Amino acid sequence: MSTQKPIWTFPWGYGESFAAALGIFLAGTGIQFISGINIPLPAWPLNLILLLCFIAVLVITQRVAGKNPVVRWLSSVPAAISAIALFTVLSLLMGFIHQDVLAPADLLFANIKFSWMYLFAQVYILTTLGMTTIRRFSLRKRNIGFMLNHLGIWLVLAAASFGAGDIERYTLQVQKGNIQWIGEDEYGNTHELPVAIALHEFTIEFYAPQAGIWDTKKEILLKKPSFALESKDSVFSWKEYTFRISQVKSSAWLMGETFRDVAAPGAVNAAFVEITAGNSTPKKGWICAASSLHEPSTLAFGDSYELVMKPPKPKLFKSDITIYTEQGSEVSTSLIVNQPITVDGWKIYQYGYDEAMGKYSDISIFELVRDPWLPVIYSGLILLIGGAVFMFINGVGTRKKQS
Amino acid sequence: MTEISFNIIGISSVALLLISAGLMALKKFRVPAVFISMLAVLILTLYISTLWIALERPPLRTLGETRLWYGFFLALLSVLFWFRWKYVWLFMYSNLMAALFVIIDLLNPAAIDQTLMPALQSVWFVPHVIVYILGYALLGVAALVAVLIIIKPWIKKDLKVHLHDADNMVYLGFAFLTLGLIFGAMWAKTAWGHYWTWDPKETWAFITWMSYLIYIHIRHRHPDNEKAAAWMLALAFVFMMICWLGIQYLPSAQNSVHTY
Repeated sequence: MSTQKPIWTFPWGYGESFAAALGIFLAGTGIQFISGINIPLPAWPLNLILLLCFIAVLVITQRVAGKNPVVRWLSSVPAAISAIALFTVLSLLMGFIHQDVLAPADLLFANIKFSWMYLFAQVYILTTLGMTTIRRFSLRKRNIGFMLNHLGIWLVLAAASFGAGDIERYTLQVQKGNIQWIGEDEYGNTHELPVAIALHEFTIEFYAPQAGIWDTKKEILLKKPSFALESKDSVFSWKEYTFRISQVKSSAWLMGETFRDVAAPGAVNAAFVEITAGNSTPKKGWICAASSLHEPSTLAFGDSYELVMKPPKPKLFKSDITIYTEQGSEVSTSLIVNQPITVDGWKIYQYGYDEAMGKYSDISIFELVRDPWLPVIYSGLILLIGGAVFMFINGVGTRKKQS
Repeated sequence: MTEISFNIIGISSVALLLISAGLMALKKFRVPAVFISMLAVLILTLYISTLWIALERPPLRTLGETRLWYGFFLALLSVLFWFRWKYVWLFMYSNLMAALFVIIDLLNPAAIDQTLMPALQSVWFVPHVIVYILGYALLGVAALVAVLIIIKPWIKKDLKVHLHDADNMVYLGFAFLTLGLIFGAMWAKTAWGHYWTWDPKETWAFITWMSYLIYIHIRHRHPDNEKAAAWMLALAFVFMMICWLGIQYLPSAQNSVHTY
């Protein structure tokens, strides 16, 4: 690092590495700008062939020309750092600029993960990381940490990028009592799917309604307090005020002066409250949350406060369904968020519902995802977990002995 | 009730943490200092457990709750590091930082909110957040070492601080970040269909992870160039803070699933 030498004379160091990374970035940006198209994502089996060719090129180059100064440089720490830095810069751009899958390609940094600079940065990092792993390939005990970490991250990055073209994601909207197999991709195109879903029942459960306090001067909902209205006859206090709840309705509608139980779309949480402060006359009235069909009601008190009903918070979304596949298998199950079910290589998720109808929604939306590269990704992640455990025990070791 | 008891517990643990940091400065009182810090850890442990039971969910959802864990882990680490390295400054710093985070929670009381939206109801929730906060605590201490090394030339005192002291914390902390990232990916796969969606929080977690990766490579290749490595370590910490606390102010992150 300290020796002064003209740039581009071997061995290449940080100057050359960062110049290369900058060149890669500019080349990617240039192609993106001139071509105005996003990168193509090769699908099965072309992506596998490309990946195998890539691995072959890395291995053969390292084995045949391992002493070539450029090849040596590709497996050096400066090249690695420049590749990680380039990837970090792209991530920073993604971190600061709002990303949109549907952004036009010539808006250079609005959809980076499908851009040419991202593709080039991936190839660069996979090359330096791959070259290093091959050069230092050894299963000796003191090399285990290195192998787990480097091979693990290489597998994850390679499978994620080469496998991206094989990922299929569709949403499927099913009405209660119906069966559906026409799904929609993220661009809104419809597809006939090899899986059909029949919806028997859709349920939403909510947490107990919560009341909060709106500060009319600052125009904010105060973080505190928050009252959970679990039952009627509860009493809360805040500052000098006392709130007495005498009625709580979980599905109500304003009729004239009062709220009545109504089991219909648009019905809201409502509560009858009496607010007292010291000896002043109590304030009484209904508060309710807003829905797409119902206005909110609040109860003003003090100089600048209003008691408001907060929007309901969902606790559980559940669909009772039967899944039919082309092969003739049939699975009946209850699907909830965070517990997808796997059928014939498809993972099926509880995805959404008709939000305007709320808990009266008779529509449930499912997401179907197929990612055949997932086992490779998980293998890489398992290696990385092994590497992390290895780091707990041994650290990574520096080159103290050589310096 | 929980509110009042948090004030009592919070103030008493802050007092204990400050006293233990102060006593550590006096050579004669180092043993009591460590014991007092252990007492603070115990109180915070009891409090987090009661909170967990009272909320009927893991207290890991709000920023305030994660700050509480951060304070807890810093206090715990201060004791562990003391037994390992016997650094006075490290002990004092960890306890003062722990006190600071509990104070922030005391000044920003959050409402008791038992709700946990369906996407958060997962077995990955607890391991994902805990390994991250533990990693943050370790890397926060490592950042202090970096700052001390950067300012060493400007302060007259001959500080006996070497980046080597930070390395083990970084390796441990980085390993925790790796686990946090992987647990998060596993969770994302079961919650919304893909292990990586470049959600703003994911993007910043990845930036943080890669900055520490650069630090580790600089240390590995140039163990004698402490200056460059220390700057990298400080920068990585800045990214980590953006990821943890700054993300909600970024316009690019307004639709993040991680804003809380």
